Amino acid sequence: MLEAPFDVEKLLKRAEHLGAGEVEVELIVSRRLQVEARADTLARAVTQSTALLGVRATIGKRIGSAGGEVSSLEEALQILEAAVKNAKSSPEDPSWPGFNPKTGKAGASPSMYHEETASAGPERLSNILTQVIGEARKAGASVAEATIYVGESLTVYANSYGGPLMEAYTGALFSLEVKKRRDQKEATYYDGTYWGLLSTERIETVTGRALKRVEDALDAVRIEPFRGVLVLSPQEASSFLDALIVPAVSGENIVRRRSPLTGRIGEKVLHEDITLVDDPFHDWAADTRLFDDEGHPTSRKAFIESGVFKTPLYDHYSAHQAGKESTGNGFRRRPWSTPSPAPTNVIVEPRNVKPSLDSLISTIDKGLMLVSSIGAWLSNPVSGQINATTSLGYLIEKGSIVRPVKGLVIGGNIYKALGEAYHGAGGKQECDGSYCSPWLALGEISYA
Amino acid sequence: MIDESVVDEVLRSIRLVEGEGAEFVDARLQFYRYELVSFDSGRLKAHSYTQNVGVGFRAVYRGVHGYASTSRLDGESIRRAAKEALANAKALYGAGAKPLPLAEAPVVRERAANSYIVDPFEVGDEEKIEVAKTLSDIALGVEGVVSATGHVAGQHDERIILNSEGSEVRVKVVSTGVLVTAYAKGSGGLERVSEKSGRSAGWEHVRGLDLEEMAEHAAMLAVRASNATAPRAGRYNVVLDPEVVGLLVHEALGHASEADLVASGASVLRGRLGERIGSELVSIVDDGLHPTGYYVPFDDEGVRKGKTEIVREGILVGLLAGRSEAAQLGIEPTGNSRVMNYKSPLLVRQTNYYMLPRDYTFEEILEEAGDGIYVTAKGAGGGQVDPGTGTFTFNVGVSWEIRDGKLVRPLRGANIAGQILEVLKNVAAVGRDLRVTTGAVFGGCGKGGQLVRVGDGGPHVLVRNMSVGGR
Repeated sequence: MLEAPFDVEKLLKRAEHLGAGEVEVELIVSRRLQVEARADTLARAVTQSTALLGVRATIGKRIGSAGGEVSSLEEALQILEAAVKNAKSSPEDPSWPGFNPKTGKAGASPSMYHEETASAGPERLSNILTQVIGEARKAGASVAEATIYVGESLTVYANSYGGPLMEAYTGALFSLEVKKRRDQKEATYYDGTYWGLLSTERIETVTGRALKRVEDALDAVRIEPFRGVLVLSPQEASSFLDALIVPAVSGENIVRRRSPLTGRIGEKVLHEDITLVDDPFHDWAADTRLFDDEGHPTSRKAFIESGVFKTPLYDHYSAHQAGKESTGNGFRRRPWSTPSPAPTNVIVEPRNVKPSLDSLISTIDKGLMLVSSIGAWLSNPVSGQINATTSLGYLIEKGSIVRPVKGLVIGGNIYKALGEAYHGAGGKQECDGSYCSPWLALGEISYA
Repeated sequence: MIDESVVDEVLRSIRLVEGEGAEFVDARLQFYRYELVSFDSGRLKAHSYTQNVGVGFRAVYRGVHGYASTSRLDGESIRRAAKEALANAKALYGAGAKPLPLAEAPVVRERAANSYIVDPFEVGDEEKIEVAKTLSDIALGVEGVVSATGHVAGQHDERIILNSEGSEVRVKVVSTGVLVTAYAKGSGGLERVSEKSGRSAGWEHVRGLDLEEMAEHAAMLAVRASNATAPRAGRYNVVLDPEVVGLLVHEALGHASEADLVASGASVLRGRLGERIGSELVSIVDDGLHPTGYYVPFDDEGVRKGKTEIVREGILVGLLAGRSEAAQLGIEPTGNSRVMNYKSPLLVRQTNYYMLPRDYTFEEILEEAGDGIYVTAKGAGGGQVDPGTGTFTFNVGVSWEIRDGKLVRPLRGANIAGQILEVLKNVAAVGRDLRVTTGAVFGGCGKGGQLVRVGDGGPHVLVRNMSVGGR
């Protein structure tokens, strides 16, 4: 298990001497081992260890922050001094509510630290990649690129009102790009998975899926523009929701009036069959946490329930602006970044789910089943405009899959596609990274 | 500043692991500073300072590569990191990795730094805060704008690249930039438009900007876009502004021309050197020293980065390569092996990638288009490519409908997509107005989990029969 390189409480004490009114400290210590393969051979092994410190300090209603990599208390004290200096020169924020006074951990005990994952060495990761390369060869394909990494992290949080809080967690990523040739045709397919523990079963599933789909990709064709239903794989559903819905339910974006859901709390914004849950306690999911980056306990809640927008996700500041309490969703990109609202794990819980993907497809007259796309993150959360381009999909006509297709530009509006035009869901809920979802069918989508 | 005693310790560690069996060792020492001031609709959202320092080693053992790093710059930690890099290489060799040799490169002992007048870290906080506040306040003051953010940042990136062949390259890049984003609500709902200006330059770059004009322009475009409709999805003659051309060449060709992807078979350009991939009007280069781009005089292997010709009048004539990929493909290293920071493994990356100008005026290009869409980067969100299939997509900002060679009405931003090997062949006109830009201190290019600063650009260009996503 990782340890903090110094006692963060010493920073809190020192802050008082520097004249800070309040101080907040977040330290993330992490270690990672990565092995990569290219062109069917192991290519390199990389180890990385870091301790990232972020400090925010206030003088009255003036706030300053500083951060960086640290390896000693002396370096941490320099960062603290820089934060206090920035606070001194900053203008007052009249709306400043202070740091979160309700520090603590949620009363749950999800699985988030896996000893075997934390201790996996380069030999084990190399063996896994060698087996993946072997599987690809058996299928007549090659591994253009594959990466596997395992890592562990320790987060330490404290502020003037409480802490330190600590939690340790592990993670494992596997990604691969396979390539196949047949006759004069050539195709590639990219796939991957991230989970809280190293699972050979997940790696085998992803490898098998990639090898099947690269075979289909050889036959993928471009087709003429049309309009119809869009069936998203659980992985694609997470990309679309992450780009379009998650920013819209941010309390900060709502308070700042840059969300299309501003002023719509309590209103129906998606189809009544759709419920979206923020779940920080899902075993082994990527964002399972007992406290957020402001030291507030996390909690499980539906933010969209039966299509109704129940609550924005708040950090401490945006909650104060809205006259509410933090929902335990204050997270940062880096320890020195200003917190913003963000979900933990998003669980899609639709009603009336068809028992299988096939039974869902059988209800569709014309559409696309999307399994791989690029650019979904370029969708516009401010307008709800969907943008993505198909790397591999399957044309659906009269309830059946007709052929693999590629290159279609996908357009539409998420609130219509998951609202009045929503078509349904099917198959088992699959979890990967910080999302769990079954296959989702969106309506009124244009394909160019 | 990096202490010279640390440099000596790194050199000793390189010798140490050479003595323990490494046939090649290199190290990247980095001292990085970044300061950001952000205003969000009247509130100071962030005033932060970040500093990172450390050293990363690559050790090559029987052709197999291992990496390790440390942020502790005492002798013991540095030696441990160097030994760990070698241990990683040996472990991989033991697991059956095949050798990836390095192409030869000249031994270089040089210092390079971009020119600047005013160090951004010597500028008072009040001035920086005022810049961010002005951007946010001016944009927010435009009728129809509901929210606005303004940001200003300064950056020092100082790197020393050392290797066991005797190279010692020291590069310091000072950069500054501003960014404003306006959110407007109109008859078509909410819309956002961003404008940024970054440069490998000192604070004089920020002082030379007309911040009020920049913020007002972004805000007015956001208002206009919020009252416009999106184009109907389909195929169009598309006129791209220079920044969108930058996105196009970066995404559509740049990534596929990175030799690590070519060597592994993950690029559609594999085996196509010497083939026609674009119309005769298309010539594209990667240039580490373009005056308005991001300054990259050497890569992170210490190889000099000049101007690399990629496409000459439609023919693929070059690729971007580091030493390892160059050896695999039998080409020369081009100075494109880069890392995000000292901890990261080397990847082939672009520097400033742009299309060379020809002789059309903007008006002639519109006339040539006849009917179609003029797309601009104001509000663009970036792009992505699948180099293996050649499919690319990028997001453009406020656009205009073109009818009979005239701009007739604004349109909302849209998504543009295509296939590398088709779209460059459909380039029908190339303008004379070359513009190369970089975010410098905001954003960059992502690959393999690493973000590096890049620049891109071109002149105005007409592409026929392009897929545009929309309603």
